[in-house]
Amino acid sequence: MINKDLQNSSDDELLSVGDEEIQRMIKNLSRVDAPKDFDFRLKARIANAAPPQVKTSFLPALRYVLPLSVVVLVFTFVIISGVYLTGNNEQTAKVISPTPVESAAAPLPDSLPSSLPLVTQTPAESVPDMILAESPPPTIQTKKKEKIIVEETNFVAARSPKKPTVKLPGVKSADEGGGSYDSTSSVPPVIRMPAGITSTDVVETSPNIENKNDIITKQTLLPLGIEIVSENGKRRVASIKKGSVAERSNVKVGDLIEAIDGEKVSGDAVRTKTLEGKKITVLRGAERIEISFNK
Amino acid sequence: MALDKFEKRSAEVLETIVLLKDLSDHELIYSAKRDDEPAFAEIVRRYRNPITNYLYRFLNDYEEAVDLAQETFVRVYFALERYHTEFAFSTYIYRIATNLAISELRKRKRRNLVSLTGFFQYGDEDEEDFHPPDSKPLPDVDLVENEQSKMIARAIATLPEKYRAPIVLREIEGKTYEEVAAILDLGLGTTKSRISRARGLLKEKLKNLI
Repeated sequence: MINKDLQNSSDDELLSVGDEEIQRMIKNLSRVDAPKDFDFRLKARIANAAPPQVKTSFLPALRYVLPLSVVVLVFTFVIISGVYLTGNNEQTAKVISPTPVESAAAPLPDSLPSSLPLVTQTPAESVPDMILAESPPPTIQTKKKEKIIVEETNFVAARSPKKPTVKLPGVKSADEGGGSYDSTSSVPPVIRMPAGITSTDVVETSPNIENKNDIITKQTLLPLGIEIVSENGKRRVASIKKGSVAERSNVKVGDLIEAIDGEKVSGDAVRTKTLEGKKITVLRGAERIEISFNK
Repeated sequence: MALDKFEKRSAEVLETIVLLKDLSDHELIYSAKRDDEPAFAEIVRRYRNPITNYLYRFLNDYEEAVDLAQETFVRVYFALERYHTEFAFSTYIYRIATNLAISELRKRKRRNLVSLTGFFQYGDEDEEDFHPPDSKPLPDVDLVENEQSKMIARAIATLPEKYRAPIVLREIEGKTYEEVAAILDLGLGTTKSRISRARGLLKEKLKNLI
């Protein structure tokens, strides 16, 4: 025991007198032994104690599993979204496909002389794909077909980033603080008309109206004092209001409205921009006349 | 005939005990892993008194020390499979005991408990000494009767736990600095510093005795 003490002291740093005294006093403390029944109690304790469950440390596993799950979920979401969107695109494409871009520029009747100035679409004014779907095939006349077309149009229009609006002279657009006509809405639009034109003129419906282009054409021309009827895909001037801009500009009853502001309105022509009614192209007999309105 | 059998069996048991005593700690653990009950009993026999004494000086509560000493062996028993022989077994078992003792001290702090044993043991002189219900005599009866020993034990028990464990292991259990450092999982410098600091604190508390 003494030797052990000496050995322990030997690797000690130099102790002061006080430290040595403390060391001596602590070493002199009597030792305490375990009770005699220690082994018996220990055996009983081990026999009664269930082996401690090994803690399956799931946290380290969670450290990897959790981000992995998030990645898998995001990846799955992206894939599913991609499939879903692709499916919709295919559906849209099916709607668009029957109306090629060329149909927008409907050919003039063969009877017309080629010397006449033609209003043709420039590439910049080519019809956007999404709007192509709004033009129904010319042959569809039955109510059933019309219903299908309207549904398809609404579907496509709903996905269209910007809804087409009709801009009338003197009427502010929605962006300008006024109202706008939503062509896709089933509710008849309330349009503020210039003085002298009553709203009843605008809301007028005709059995000859084949599609919305007719409505838009009529609404564009009415403020000018022109009333039209549709005949076999052509819009003919039915009457001209007295004292109106149209009368002053020498528009005649019987003129066939071919284009407004350079946009074809006859036949299957599709409106691609907001019509303002500043300039119209009419066919009078075999003559193509361009009439500008100076209001 | 029956007597011969009994003598033969006794001789075998004696031989086994003698053999177990010669085995190292790691050899005993190796045997205990194979459900060799005498091997584990030998481990208990070797370490029950040192561990009990260490925990007693650490906690200053004999019953608690015995309870935690038993808990230490329970932990060792159920962790035999996971035991690796990288460290000395004594380092391993002292580390378990230290951790249990520190946990107990923290529990006491949280519960704000006062040890009844300690209270009676170190109460006024006029009060009757505490005797545990166990029929056996207290091993450190002499300690209780010795005023100086009582003061020293009380001084150690009032040390902060980070100084208490190193000084007890070093001065009472006679461990080297390296062993203390390994048990407490501290650096050698930190261990020496803490032991030195513990001595300084004890010197202040026991200046009347020096």
